[in-house]
Amino acid sequence: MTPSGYFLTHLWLVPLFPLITAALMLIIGRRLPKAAVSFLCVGSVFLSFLHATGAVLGLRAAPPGNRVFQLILFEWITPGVMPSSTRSPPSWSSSSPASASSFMSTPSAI
Amino acid sequence: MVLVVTGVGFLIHVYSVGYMRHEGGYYRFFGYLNLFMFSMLTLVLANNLLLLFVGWEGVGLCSYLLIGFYFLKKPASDAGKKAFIVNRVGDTGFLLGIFLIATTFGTIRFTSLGLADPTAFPGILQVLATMVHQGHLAYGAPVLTMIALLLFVGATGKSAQLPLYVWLPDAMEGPTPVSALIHAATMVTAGVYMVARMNAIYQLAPVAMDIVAIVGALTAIFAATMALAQTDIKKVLAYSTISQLGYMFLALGVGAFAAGIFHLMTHAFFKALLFLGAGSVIHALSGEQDLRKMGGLWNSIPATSRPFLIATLAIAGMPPLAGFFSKDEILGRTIARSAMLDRYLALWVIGLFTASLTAFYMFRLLNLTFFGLSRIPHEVEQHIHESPKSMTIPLAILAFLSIIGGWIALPTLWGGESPFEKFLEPVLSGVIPETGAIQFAHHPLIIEFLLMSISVAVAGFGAWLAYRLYLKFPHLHSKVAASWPRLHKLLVNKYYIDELYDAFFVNRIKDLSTAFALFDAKVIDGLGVDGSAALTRILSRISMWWDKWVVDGLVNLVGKVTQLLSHPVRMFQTGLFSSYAMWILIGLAILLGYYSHHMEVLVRNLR
Repeated sequence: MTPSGYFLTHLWLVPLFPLITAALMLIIGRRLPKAAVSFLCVGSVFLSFLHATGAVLGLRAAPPGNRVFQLILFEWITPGVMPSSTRSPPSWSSSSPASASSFMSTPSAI
Repeated sequence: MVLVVTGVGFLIHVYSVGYMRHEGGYYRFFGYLNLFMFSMLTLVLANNLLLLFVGWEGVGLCSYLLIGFYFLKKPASDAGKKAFIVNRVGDTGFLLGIFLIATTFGTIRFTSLGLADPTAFPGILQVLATMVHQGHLAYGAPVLTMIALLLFVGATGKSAQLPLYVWLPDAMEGPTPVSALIHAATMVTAGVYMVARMNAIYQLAPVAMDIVAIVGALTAIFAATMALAQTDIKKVLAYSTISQLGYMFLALGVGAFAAGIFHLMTHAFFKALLFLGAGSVIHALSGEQDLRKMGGLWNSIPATSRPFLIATLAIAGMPPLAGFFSKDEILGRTIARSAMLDRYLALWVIGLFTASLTAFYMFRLLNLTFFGLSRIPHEVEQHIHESPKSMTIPLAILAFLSIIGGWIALPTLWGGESPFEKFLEPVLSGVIPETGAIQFAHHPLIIEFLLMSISVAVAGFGAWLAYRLYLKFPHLHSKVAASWPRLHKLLVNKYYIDELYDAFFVNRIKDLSTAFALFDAKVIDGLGVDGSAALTRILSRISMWWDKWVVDGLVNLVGKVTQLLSHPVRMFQTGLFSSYAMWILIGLAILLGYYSHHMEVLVRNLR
């Protein structure tokens, strides 16, 4: 059983909060009062912190061998079959398209 | 790591509210800071190398923007550019490493563990394991060493190791919360994080491991000696950061990946605290950063000075603070490795000596700032004030973390397994090869305690020496400096590394660009543009001549001939009526003359 729970399945929120406020600041920040800037920016990082804490606790709750969590949000670059190296190709590469990248998540929260 | 980034990041955000209150561009500062948080979290949470690289470049960009935050100050914008360019050098290696991984393994995802369909999405770890087990890749295969070294080049850039550390001290031109967050606690540890993340490859590349360990140890001692003679409070801390990062790489290089990450975490606490404390001191002294103009601040700003003392004890490795556990873990692992390989003993000695230097320069900083006689100019002294609550509360929390941050490793004291290591196990297990796996000797507990007391004693010696030189006999240190003038000058000038780089790389590249500029001016512009212009002029001259004398000449010739031929005709066209009348008469006479015979015949016939 892989770890799950709100904080892990919503892990993508962790980097999203600061991104939203960063965008806000750099677009309309000039017109905001200082108090609003402080509240938004510090608040967003605090929300990230809460979600990260939740995610780490979620990982800890899992049995030690299963403390890996990975979530593919979207396929980013899907290459065809990679030209294999000069050594003989590993068995998987001929059968399945070697999808190189997808979005994030953390196997164990280093 | 997510917790460290968001937790320390949050505290520093709160601190910045107080620190940046009087600065212009408040929203811009926070915008960049949040953008940095986003990039750093992307870097940490990425499950593949390319996304990690996106975060890696993102934090690099934010670092550049924030170092150059006071962009009207020339040194600040220069420092920003320097950081950006030096980091690009490292990134080249990193990117090449990613390419080599992609072509070797066919994937850049770290692992397929935790995915619904692991076979459809292979990870580096699984492919590596398959290749090793099928015998396609051996322990110490050149391609693995190459990958490991290329990735390490990237890490030396981002984590300020030899030879690419030069940007970090200059980065202190940025606002102090930035120095704390980016250039001490989070971004600079990205290299350590990345190497630990790719530990499976490193474990199979012993040569690369050795290089990582040696570079780490050398950086640690090199930067620590430079920190001895700096007079700028933030520069001392910057060199200290480089030195501590060296420790982390030493840990990675000897195969103690968990110890490296552990030191990363404790270092984030106490180094953030040191920087924020330094920022608070600078704030109290209205912007003064020179250690020679401080002193005696212990009681005037208590909410800053006491956490600062805790952080100093922590970084010096005094038990039971955080730095003691992590640093001792690294040194212990290094000597445990030396039971297998003799050369690691030298690294241990370097590490131990650096620990003593660390204690020395940190207590020097502490004594010069907070103790002894005040050397603060009178007009500044009147305005000394404690920082606002938003700055001192983060200091208190970080001080608390600096104390307890290492206790997670407490079970190791009585021979248990570190819970921290256990938590990281899924990431750090790697691929165990048939031969050559990293082994650590297990010393009996008594030796472990002996080693601990050695490192504490060495650190204590450093602290004692700093106390003697800077507090008990405040004039002694200038005498010591005077007795080795050359060495002192070398240290003050940071081994002239910046000058060397300027002489060997920066100015040579400038020469190269000057040569290119000359080539551009003489060959491209001179021969190419100006030459073709001249050629065009010559050709147009020929064409003009042809036009004038041949094309027009023919037209003129036709005209002239016509004129010439028409000349006799024109003779008649005088325009005088009388002459026309005369010619008409003459014509009539000729006609009549011609036809007179015919007229006679005609007239005769009519008759």
